[in-house]
Amino acid sequence: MLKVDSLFKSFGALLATDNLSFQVKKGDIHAIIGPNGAGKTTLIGQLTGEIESDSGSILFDGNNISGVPVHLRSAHGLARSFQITNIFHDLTTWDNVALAVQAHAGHSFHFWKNASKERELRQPALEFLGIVGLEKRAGFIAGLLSHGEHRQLEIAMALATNPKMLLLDEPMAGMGPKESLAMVDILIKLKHKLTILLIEHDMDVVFTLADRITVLVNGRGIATDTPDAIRKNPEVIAAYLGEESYHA
Amino acid sequence: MKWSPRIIFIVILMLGLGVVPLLADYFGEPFYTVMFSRMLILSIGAVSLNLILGFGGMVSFGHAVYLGIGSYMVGIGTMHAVEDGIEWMANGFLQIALAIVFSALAGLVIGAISLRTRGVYFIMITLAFSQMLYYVAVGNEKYGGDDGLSLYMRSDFNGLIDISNDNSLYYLNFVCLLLSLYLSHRLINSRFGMLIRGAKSNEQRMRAIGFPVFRYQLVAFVIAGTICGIAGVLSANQTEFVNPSVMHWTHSGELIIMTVLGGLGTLFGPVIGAVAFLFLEEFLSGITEYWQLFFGPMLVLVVIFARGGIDGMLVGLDQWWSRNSPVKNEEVD
Amino acid sequence: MNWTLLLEQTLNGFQFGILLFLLAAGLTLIFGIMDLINLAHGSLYMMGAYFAATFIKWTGSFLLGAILAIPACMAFGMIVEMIALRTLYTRNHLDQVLATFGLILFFNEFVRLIWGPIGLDIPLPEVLNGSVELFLGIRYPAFRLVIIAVGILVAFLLYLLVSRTKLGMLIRAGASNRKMVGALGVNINLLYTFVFGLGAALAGLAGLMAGPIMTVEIGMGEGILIITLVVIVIGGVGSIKGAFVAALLVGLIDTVGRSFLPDILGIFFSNDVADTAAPAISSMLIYLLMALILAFKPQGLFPPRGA
Ligand SMILES: Nc1ncnc2c1ncn2[C@@H]1O[C@H](COP(=O)(O)OP(=O)(O)O)[C@@H](O)[C@H]1O
Ligand SMILES: [Mg+2]
Repeated sequence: MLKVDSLFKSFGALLATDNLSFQVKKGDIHAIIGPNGAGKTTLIGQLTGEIESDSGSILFDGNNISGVPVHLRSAHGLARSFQITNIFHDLTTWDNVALAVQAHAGHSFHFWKNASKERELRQPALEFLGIVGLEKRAGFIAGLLSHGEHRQLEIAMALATNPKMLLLDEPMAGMGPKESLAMVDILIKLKHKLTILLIEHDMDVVFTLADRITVLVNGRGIATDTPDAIRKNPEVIAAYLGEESYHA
Repeated sequence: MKWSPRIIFIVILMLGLGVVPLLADYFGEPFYTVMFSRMLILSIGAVSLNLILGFGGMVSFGHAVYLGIGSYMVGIGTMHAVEDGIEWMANGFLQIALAIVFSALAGLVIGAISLRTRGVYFIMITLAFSQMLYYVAVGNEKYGGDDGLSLYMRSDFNGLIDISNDNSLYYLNFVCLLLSLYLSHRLINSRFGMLIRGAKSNEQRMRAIGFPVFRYQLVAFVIAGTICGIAGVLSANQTEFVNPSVMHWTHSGELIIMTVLGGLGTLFGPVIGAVAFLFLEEFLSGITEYWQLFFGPMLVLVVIFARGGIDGMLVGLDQWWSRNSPVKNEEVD
Repeated sequence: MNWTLLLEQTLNGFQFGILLFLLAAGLTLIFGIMDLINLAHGSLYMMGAYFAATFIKWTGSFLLGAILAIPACMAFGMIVEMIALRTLYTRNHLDQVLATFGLILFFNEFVRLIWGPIGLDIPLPEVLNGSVELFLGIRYPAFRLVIIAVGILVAFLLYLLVSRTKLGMLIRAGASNRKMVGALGVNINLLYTFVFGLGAALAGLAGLMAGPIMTVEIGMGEGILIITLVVIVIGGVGSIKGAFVAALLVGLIDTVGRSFLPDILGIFFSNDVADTAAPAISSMLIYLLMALILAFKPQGLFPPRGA
């Protein structure tokens, strides 16, 4: 589904992505783990095109999408959620998702018909809100929702663009245990329906959900393997997991 | 629709604007028809600016350029009609058509360059381009240069509408204002409008969900300019005089002030703002010759303390009113 | 082609560029550090000219009056910053534009109230009034040479200030990371007020030097403000080096273009066309330059780092 090959990105002297290569199989939940500052968010930016890569290639669903503008990558079926909530704060929850639906419902040079009465935008939007459990919040101004609900809205918006692959940047960051569980349920619901690249710090979640895991340290991919193999990989334990359990 | 102080205020304002010439005639003060006529025209300009500024978040500091383009279409046409006897050039429909074409063209070029940039660059570039066109008009001696052109007749609408008297011109302006309001209303609620508003709210997110934002913003920019160009045609007919100062950057600044004063991103805000602005100007300059000594600081205070503009205050009044109204008719949507 | 005229116009362009630089340096510093777009910067330029005209009249000495005008302008700018602008730093650009537009209206009316509606003259002393022979009998007004010299000196001092002093380090750090400067225990309000005062002093200097060659009048800062905005957009908002390069570029192109465009157009078109089109086109030149540069570099020639 996704094939990343020798990807590089530097910010000044800092190498945020350092010769990174890995593949994601169709239908998998593929987790990316690694300490803070490893370059996980940067990688997602490079995949969606918001951050321009210095070199390397990105093959998505058989197309070389390196150098393709952001909105066209979205049209190819790549959608993301943001680590730091990134929604339309002053629109309603429903409008937020309806906009995402609209983005993939042909061009938007419709000047006359009232968009908030168009069933073909509103109905699907409501369904996506349903998937993430936000339908009761449809009429609320999105900015006023709770943190957990913002995270759910992020997912609903990403889903509404009808993607083949979801890039989720720490969807559970800052959530309480109950909200996290709800999010895990959502991810389980989505599993196998589409391919998911998941960045997550909670190792329990990662090891239950993920089919494969890539470990990122200082921009380099030090291993890509199944959860079991990753758990036993000495290099990973030394570089990341060991430190994690040490802190825990 | 539920009646509230804000709605009542807006209804009264619009109805009031509808009967100004009748009242002015009744009280024998035709001056007021002219003054309110100006308000209507600037309202149209502010309504058009509001489309990109209020709903689209594009701080264009050169919107008066389109007023100028529309005005010059009338000025130039009328000049040729009167001096060279080319009568069809005074035709109002033709002038409007030309105003639309040239405003759209100017909007397309200015927008295509300035929308490549963001933030303060965008402000400065729109400002600079408007000033460039201002200097073009100043340097163009053939069409009056610095002094401008006096109109010896108003536009001729094939006898369908006769705007040679101030009252009928007033109603033409009024109808155009209503049309521009209706057009905005449709536009901002359409898919196109949702997109423009979304881009104001969070442009990065718009791209991430797959919108090619630039082309839509450009079209919005062109539409706003075009509507303002038509206001320019009306403006020239109103003042019977065209000169470069109509597109001076301070005039663009005034359009922004009206829009913000009334309430950014609200349908009627620009109308309220234009009326309030001209009233204030009239009122303050009646008190003192140095009226801007007070108007300037007032503007600073409005910016600092009254961010929602007058419409925002009316919304606040609504909230206060519904809290204190005897029948608690709370509604949750 | 008239070479003497070309030389003279080139020097004029250089001199105009220097004035633009003095204005642009302050404006771009204020923007780069405080993230404030200050339309009233042209008013400070006007105040500089009015202060100078007044002080020169009082003291009877050009030099003394001019020297007094600069700290006066600086103090004036600092007061304005403390009263009106400080609250605007955290506001969006639209709010800043509106509020500083309001300040322009206020200052223009203020000047009209104090100095009256009629413009003032700044008479030049004998020494500066004449012209100097450059070489081969080519003469050039002495005062314009002074402007060029002062401008270059100021540019050099500014360079030293920003690149070599602790204050300059704070200024550069403030531009990229205001929280860090705060954490260093530096009083950020004081720093901002000082930077604004510095910008005001530079604008005032430009105004007082422009006074004797143009007239000192209400609104004199507005036309030049727009050109200054063009300069800092071309140079890259926030960059002093960019402001310097762009100011000279704009000054030269504008001045030389205005005087030679009719001739140049005359080569390609009839004289009639050239004569009517030239004024309009020459006033468009710098904007076309801006459009051209932005088409390739939307952030200007020297884009600020990290943007
Ligand atoms: N726009 C940027 N400019 C400079 N450095 C950046 C930028 N974005 C990220 N970085 C740096 O790149 C590294 C990787 O960051 P990030 O991808 O956010 O890490 P992660 O998501 O794994 O925590 C960090 O050291 C961060 O400081
Ligand atoms: Mg991250």
